[in-house]
Amino acid sequence: MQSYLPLAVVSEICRHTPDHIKLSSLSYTRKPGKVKSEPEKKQLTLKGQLTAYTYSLDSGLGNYIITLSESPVFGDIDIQNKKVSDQSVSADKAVMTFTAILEVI
Amino acid sequence: MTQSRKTPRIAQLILLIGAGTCLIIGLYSILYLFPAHRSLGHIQKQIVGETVNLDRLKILFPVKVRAKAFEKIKFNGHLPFPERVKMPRKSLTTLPGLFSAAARTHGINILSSTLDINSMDKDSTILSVTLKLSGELKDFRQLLVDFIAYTWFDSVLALEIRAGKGKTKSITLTLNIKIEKAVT
Repeated sequence: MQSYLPLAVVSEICRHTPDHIKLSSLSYTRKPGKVKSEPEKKQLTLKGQLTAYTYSLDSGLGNYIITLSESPVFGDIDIQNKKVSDQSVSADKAVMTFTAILEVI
Repeated sequence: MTQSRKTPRIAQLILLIGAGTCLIIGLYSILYLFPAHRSLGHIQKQIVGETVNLDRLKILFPVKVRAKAFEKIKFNGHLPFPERVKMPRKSLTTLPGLFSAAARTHGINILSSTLDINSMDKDSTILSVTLKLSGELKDFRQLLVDFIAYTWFDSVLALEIRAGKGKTKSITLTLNIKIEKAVT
């Protein structure tokens, strides 16, 4: 069953990523535990950009993270490098780039 | 004398008729009106029950229609779970060909295939293979199912997908392959 975990990860990301979020990269890695008894850590790094109204950028990203956290495949989620781009799409819309580190269970 | 004899008889007759009428009314009530009243209550209960059922059906009917539509969609829900075996070391040269053939089947391009020779010592039972691919994500998912279905597949060590032009993605996949120990 564990063999199909990367496939489940890709499927869950495809299923939960809305149209206004474009992912530029997805990286799945496995790191062995520091001690032999410690289980290995599986981690997913997502880089992407979210397009939304300026006032709803944060809530849009928050919603996405909450949706992902509800998936049985993912554990803790950490957002890094959240940055609003200087180039706006239109007068009232903006782009936010982000990096999300997801623990894969 | 005759007149006085007739009077009690008429009274008796009237009493008899009265008693008979009461008996008939009583029997009619017991045998017809009471059961009819009971069945009326039963029918009222049935009407309430059927109304509730109808309300439920109003909600469930669209769900049933959708479920029926889903039934018609052909879905292969079976993922292969083969018995895992170790690949003989002499067969390792066939790996790139196998990967390439599977990728072609799903319309994925293999840009490079690198075997981590450094991880191969005599006792090692796992070999890492890194594949650089390009193609659409939906095709890659099918290809990944094919890779996992290989009997000597161990695990996915790393996976990286980068956005490319249009729907095409640049994919780097590192697989662990089960291999036999070297014969000494």
